[in-house]
Amino acid sequence: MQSNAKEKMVHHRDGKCIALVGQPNVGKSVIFQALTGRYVTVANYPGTTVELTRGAARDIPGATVIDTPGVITLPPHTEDEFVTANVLLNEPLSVIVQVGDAKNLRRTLMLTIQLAEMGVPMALALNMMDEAVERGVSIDHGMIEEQMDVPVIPTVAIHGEGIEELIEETRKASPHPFHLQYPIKIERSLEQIEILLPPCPISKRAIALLWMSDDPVVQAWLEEHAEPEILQKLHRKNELLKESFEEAPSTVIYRTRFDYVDRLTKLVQRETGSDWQSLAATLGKLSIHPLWGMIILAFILYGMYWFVGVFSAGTLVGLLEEKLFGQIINPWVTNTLARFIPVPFISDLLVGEYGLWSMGMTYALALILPIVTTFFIAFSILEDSGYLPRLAVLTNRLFRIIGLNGKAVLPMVLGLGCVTMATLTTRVLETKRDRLLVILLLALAVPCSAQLGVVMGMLASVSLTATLIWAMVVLGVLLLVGWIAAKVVPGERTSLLLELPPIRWPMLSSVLTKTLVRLEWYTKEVVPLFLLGAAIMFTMDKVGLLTFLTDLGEPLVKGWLGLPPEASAAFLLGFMRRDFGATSLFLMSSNGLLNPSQVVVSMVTITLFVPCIAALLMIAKSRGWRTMLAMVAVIFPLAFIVGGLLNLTLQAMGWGS
Amino acid sequence: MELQDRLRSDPMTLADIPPGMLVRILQMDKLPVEKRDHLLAFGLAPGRWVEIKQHRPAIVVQVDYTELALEPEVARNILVDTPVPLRRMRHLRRGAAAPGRRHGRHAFFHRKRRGRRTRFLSRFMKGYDRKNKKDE
Repeated sequence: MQSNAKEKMVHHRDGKCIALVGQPNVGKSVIFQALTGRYVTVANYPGTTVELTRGAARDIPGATVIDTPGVITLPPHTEDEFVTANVLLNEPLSVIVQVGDAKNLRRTLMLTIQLAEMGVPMALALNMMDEAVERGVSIDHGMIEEQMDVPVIPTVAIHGEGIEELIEETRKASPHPFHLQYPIKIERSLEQIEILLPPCPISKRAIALLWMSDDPVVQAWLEEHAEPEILQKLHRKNELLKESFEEAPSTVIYRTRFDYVDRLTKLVQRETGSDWQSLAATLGKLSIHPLWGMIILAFILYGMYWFVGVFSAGTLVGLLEEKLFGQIINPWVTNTLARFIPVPFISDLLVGEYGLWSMGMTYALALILPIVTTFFIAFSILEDSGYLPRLAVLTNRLFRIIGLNGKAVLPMVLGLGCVTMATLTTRVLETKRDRLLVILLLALAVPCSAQLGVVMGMLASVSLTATLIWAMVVLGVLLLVGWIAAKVVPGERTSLLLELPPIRWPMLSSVLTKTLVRLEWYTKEVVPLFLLGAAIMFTMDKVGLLTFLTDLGEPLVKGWLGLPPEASAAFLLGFMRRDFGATSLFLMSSNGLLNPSQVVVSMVTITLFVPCIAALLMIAKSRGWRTMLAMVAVIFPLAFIVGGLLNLTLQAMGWGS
Repeated sequence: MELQDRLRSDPMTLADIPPGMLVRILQMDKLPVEKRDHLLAFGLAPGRWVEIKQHRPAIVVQVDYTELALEPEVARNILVDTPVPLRRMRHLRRGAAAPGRRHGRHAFFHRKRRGRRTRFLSRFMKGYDRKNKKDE
């Protein structure tokens, strides 16, 4: 324990450590960006930041800034709140910068009290001042400063207003003696608990208050740092305290804080009571209306179908794949190779049927890149507008059927961007059961952007009916499996409780930056995988393994799914990444090898197929190998069963063949 | 009437209040502890006025400037006082005192005359400037 304390001392001397803490969706990441110049994903819904991001502060030499996931209050409720609680207790912080929402002063100040009680130097950035002004709220922040002894800086982070002052205050932040008097019984037990506590990184009073509220993070910390007999005494103190009160001590503590905040707010906040209305607010209201909400949703879905499916996968890919790559680049590469390196093996490796260039790079650059680019643009717009939490309200009933609540739509829609990232985002869900169910559904029935783009492009080229059949079958499987899984997995459903952020107009610069950052990530992650995939296919082709596997898969692919035997190769590629397999089917279909019914069957099967390697690794990392293998064991046969049944149904109906 | 009597005689819950009404929260003891703590953290606490915005597909209420979506199961466990139509009692929303007339006109005046940035500075840097002067 002593070495631990020493380590912390060293840290302090080395440089400041500044933590950005605040409630969800108040703009911590935007301020992080302003302080460090480093880009982190920003969006208009709670839970965008799920991991800690660190960066060097530009204007404070030697200081590190930590961006933390949003925390509504302590003790923490969700996994991402645990991450933040851990930072507060275990990192040697020299300054805490609280980022708060100016228009929700009460909520902000409730957290300010908790942070100020920790005794670490702090500053409060009252962010989104422009939104408060719009709604006719004015705040005398000097008065808050006087009353609480904490520097308060009004900011509009997205326009950079107030950032300089914030940096200035952060630089000179000093410990402040904030003290809130609790009822006498609480104060007395606080004293008794404080005496028992070992040396703490934050004030003993704060630790004692959290201990009385049964904070799991403080409990874990004490189990590690306190002697067993002291821990026992602490437990006994807590039990005694609970017996002596009619209500839980945490309720009494909350009420004391609330009364203080209420008085302070009445003192510093003026509201004109203006009937604030705007187009954005009206749209926000309509988007959760039982009827209008559905119409708006249908409109958005059709817009995305047109933008990603018809425009990008049809027009753009046609131009790039057929014209640019098919007629100009690829023939040129083939000719140059033939002229300079006339070795058949090498030219086969690069531009043959499974060549690194002709398959790997062409797939990645000509087919998938334009599709994911448009998808990322559309998705960024949705994210920044704040529509996604409203989608949770609309879909709550649907998720009720599968034993979840509408909140699950957030990771699911993110999964349409990238299943790997979405698996990480399940942290915003409240219970382990919910997280497990959502991860299963993500792995099974949610296609990621790359794959979705290919699927949409391919189906859009057949007909809208084909797209609808695909969507209904996948959605049906999702609901059915979710319904069964919810019955099988023990635990109770948590009911919906969700904050709806205001609808905001997306900013072009933010949408573009976000798209570029995601594209960069995509290129880094996917292109090597595609090259690897092409190399593996090439090797298997050369040693004859491919023919063997294709023959082996033929009864399944040809007999059961009713697809041409060449499609086996696509499913093999699908093990690498689902979109890789889908792309290969896309090419088969544009070469006229598949009829409409076969297109739909193959797309449904590949959509339900196991997700990419990266997503599987993420599942294994967050839920363990056994869970991951169990999921694969369910998903793999299920994909083929559904595909085969669909094939039989379509044939019986005589559709599209 | 004492709180206890009122609760006994008129046990109205948040789920019973039609949209467009303002209502004061009386008690939320029936909720499970985590749900209650969660709501308290959002500012939905006994004594606060909330506005009911809609009932379907989920109940949406506004407290301060926070909009919250709840399921009926949660709302049914929140006991409330007699509701008041929003239009008549707008100043009660968020527990604020009735707005002074001068204040309202003042804000309007600023909005007309100055640009967005100046308006921002004038309204929020006032306190800041005062403090800086004090420091000097």
